[in-house]
Amino acid sequence: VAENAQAWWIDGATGARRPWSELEDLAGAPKAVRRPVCQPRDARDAVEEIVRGLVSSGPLTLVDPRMPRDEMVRLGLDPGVVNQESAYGVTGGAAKVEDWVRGRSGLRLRLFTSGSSGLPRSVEHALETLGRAIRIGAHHRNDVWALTYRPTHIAGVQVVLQALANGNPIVDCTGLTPAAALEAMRRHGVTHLSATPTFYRLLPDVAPLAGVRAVTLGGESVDDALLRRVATLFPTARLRNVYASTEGGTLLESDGTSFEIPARLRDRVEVRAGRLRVHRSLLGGLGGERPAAMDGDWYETGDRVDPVAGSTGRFTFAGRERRWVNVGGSKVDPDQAEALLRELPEVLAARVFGLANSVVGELLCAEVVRRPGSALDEAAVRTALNGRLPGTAIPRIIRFVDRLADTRSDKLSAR
Amino acid sequence: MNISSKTVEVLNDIRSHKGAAREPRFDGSARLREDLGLDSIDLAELTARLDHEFGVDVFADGPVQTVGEVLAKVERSARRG
Repeated sequence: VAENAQAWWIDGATGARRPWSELEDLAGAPKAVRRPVCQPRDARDAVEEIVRGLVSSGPLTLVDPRMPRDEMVRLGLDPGVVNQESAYGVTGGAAKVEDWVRGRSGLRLRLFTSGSSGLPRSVEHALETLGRAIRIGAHHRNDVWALTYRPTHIAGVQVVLQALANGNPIVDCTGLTPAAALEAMRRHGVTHLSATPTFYRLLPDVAPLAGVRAVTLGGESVDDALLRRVATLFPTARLRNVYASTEGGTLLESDGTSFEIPARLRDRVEVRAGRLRVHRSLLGGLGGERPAAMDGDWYETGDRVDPVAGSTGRFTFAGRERRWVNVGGSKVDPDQAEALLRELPEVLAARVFGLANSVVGELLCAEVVRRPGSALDEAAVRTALNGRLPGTAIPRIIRFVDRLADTRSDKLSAR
Repeated sequence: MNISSKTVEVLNDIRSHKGAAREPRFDGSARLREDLGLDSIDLAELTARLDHEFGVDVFADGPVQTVGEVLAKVERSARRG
């Protein structure tokens, strides 16, 4: 682990290391080119482009590597400019990457929301918004970060900036299965980890990882059972459950399942009619058309909250606004079946969604990750749901998969 | 498994949701709705499963009525490759 000090990037799959000097050279290269609109090859390519954006104080648009051309066009992005190179100059005089992250850069970063609520939308962030959650200090000097999020999305960018600002190595776990990621973390002495609840749910039951000091969960609602499991796997870690969005970065934090709006945000974050709203002053610039989700100066997050009984101001997240699936004219709530599927003892993870269908418009489908060794089949799942849901709310096609497909494409995974 | 026996299997799977017994084969002239008792959601499931299996949406250019028409569409698409 001592050898981590010289590396800024460690490939979690191969163990290959890249030295800090290489990253710092990006700042001073004589004939430097960068890609102001970048669809990176991989996670490291994205992070290097972020560093070029930092040292040149330029605007940078990062596009998910999987985004198809027609989606770019729909988002108003000219595919012809993607990955076009342009020369850049270094503004300012700092030599160390961490100084750039600590606020000396005029980087403006445009990202796209992951689109769990439909077509992705662009959001532009100044370094100031992105850096709000970054913690800098001597006690972060020896942190080692696992990167599980793609750095083309805000959660990944935040991990990257946190690590770069403190000179910490990043262990690239993007694209690894949760089990392989866990192994890479153990091998490379990871101390800090941030990932989605789904990632933690899919971790195998293995010996606890000592040495991990902080574990962050974010992006979906979290229940007590999952927190207990995470605490068992990472017994020495401080658990942090964060509420963040592409639009506003990290907004709320908790060490459990319930949240409270901190005093400093009370005039800018509020619960109205059971839903969380965020004042526009906390948001990055929302690109394109004014989103329908704005109500005056307030952004409607669409996240439903339930008050915690007996408390003043504490609440838990109850999930996204309902995403209706229209099955032959009947509106069906896929979250109902999804919640019941997740309760089945042999199920590790599940998603239920509407699949475009030439007969009824949309057909309710499910993808299910079984526990290893489970022989659960489609008929057994259907039997478990029969009688507990109306017929139209039961997925008609249930596929067993090794991992859940990316939620941005509603189609069945190939066999 | 060939197209015909796979289609029979898919039809049996869908009919079994309603407790129908499995059949070794279906006549080409058997009507999906009237004879096999499939409703619109059943037909939606049929086309989605065949699409996943063979890459053809048998209802894409209008309704099909019989088992034979379903098989013909799948086979035509398989020949086109």
